[in-house]
Amino acid sequence: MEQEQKLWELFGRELSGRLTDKERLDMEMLKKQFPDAARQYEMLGALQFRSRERQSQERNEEMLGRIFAAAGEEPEPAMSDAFPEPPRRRRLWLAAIPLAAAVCAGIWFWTGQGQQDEKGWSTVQTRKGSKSKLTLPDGTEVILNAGSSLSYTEGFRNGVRHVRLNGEGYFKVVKNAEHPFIVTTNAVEVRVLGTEFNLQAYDSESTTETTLISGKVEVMVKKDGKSYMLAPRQKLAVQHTLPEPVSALPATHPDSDPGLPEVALTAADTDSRDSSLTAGAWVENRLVFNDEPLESLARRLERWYNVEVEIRDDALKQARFTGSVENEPVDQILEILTTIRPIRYKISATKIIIY
Amino acid sequence: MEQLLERIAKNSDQLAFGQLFSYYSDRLIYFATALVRSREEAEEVVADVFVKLWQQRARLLDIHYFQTYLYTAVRNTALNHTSRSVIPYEELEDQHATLMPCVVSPEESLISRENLRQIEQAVNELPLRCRLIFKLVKEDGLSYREVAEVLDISINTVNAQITIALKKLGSAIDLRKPFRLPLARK
Repeated sequence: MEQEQKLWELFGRELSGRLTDKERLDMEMLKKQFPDAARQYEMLGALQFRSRERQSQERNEEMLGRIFAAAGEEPEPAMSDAFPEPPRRRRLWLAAIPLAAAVCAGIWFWTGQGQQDEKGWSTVQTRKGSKSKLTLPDGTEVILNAGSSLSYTEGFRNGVRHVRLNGEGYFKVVKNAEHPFIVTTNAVEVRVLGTEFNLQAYDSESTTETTLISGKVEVMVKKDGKSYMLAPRQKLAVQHTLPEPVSALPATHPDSDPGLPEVALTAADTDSRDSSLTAGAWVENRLVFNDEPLESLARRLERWYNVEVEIRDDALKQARFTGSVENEPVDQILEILTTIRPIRYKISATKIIIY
Repeated sequence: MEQLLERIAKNSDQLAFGQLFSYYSDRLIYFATALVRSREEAEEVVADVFVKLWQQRARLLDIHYFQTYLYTAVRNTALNHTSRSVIPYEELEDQHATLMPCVVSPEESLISRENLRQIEQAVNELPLRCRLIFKLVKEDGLSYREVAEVLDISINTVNAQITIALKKLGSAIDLRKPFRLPLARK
């Protein structure tokens, strides 16, 4: 009996990682002597233990609100996204970022000192590889795509509804006839009365696209001051030349296709399978590409997955792809692309090379 | 974790702070409940600790053993609340969360349901202090050294308590109870 007690003590020491070589030998001997205890210990080792009672998400958020309040912090506009558990490790860390987990994985707030500029704009920013959903003070919901920022003024509560967007956002604007909702980007100004629409306005892209899902919006093109009323399922694309890098590159930017009109009002692109609009697909973690050059698709992958993508073959940059992928890790997407057209690629920890 | 702390310290990232909080809140509240009289009080203790953490976020990266720091802060705050200088585990009634054993991988489903139930019962019959130490090691993943530091007891005590827990739980497993056979692979 004493010997069996000794065995359990050795088990305890083994767990603590403080077992000497001599003790390990003793333990092995005693295990043979007490096979039942050895078996029981082995089975215990196979178990995890959890508290049954868990704090609910709501309770956690409520506590967190109290904590910020007690710390003298103005609570942020309601964050509606839950905090996900960190994704489990997989073979490849690149592949380990399924989009669903990337949603709301990261968002930066700037408020108070340094976060608000002198004119009282507050900025919410998503990093590459993450999306975020936020509710503005008037109840309007905005889902921000990866690598985007949205600023709004302090006066928001008092009726002024003016935001600035760089990047892509899906807006569900709360109706308020007295106070139009205005989104300003570099190229356009969108005036809204209460509607759902997608606005893609990355500084780094050569077009700004407003796609109306429902309701009514008026888009003013800043360059010439002309306005366009959009009907649901219509898209207004505005071409703009990107600022050239200082080092003199060839005069024509690869993206500026002279054959395209500068402003085009067309029917919105739809997914051929179910004729849903492609413009809002990213909100549901669907990556839809419709006759899209690999070069622009690569830039989207860079933002979505926070990776660098290099295309080594110039001809390949212009190769066009059509498809729709849902919730796939980036290596799966590349795999799918190779079935559409034979491309080769390499994935390293920080970079994807297509050649 | 390192990254979260960095985002909080350098960018005052509220979302990262929220993630840190949800990662630790359950276990810290459980821990605090063992030290104070009620769950409400335990929540207050944990909230207090996080308020300070946020206020002093700029110095977060100077903390070397963050987890130990966190549990110790909860312990000290709890003791301040009760204005007692020792942790009176034994005199407390345990009205809170029970520990539940669960199986982690298919080959371990060899453990029969009945055995699981018996282990669960045995865990919750452990003396409170023993169970708390067992939980800190097995659920929260603290090392013996961390537990010793956080509870202000010796490593030998931790060792002894874990031995008691292991032995009691081990004896709860009835080796004659038929195991569920692994399902045949299709």
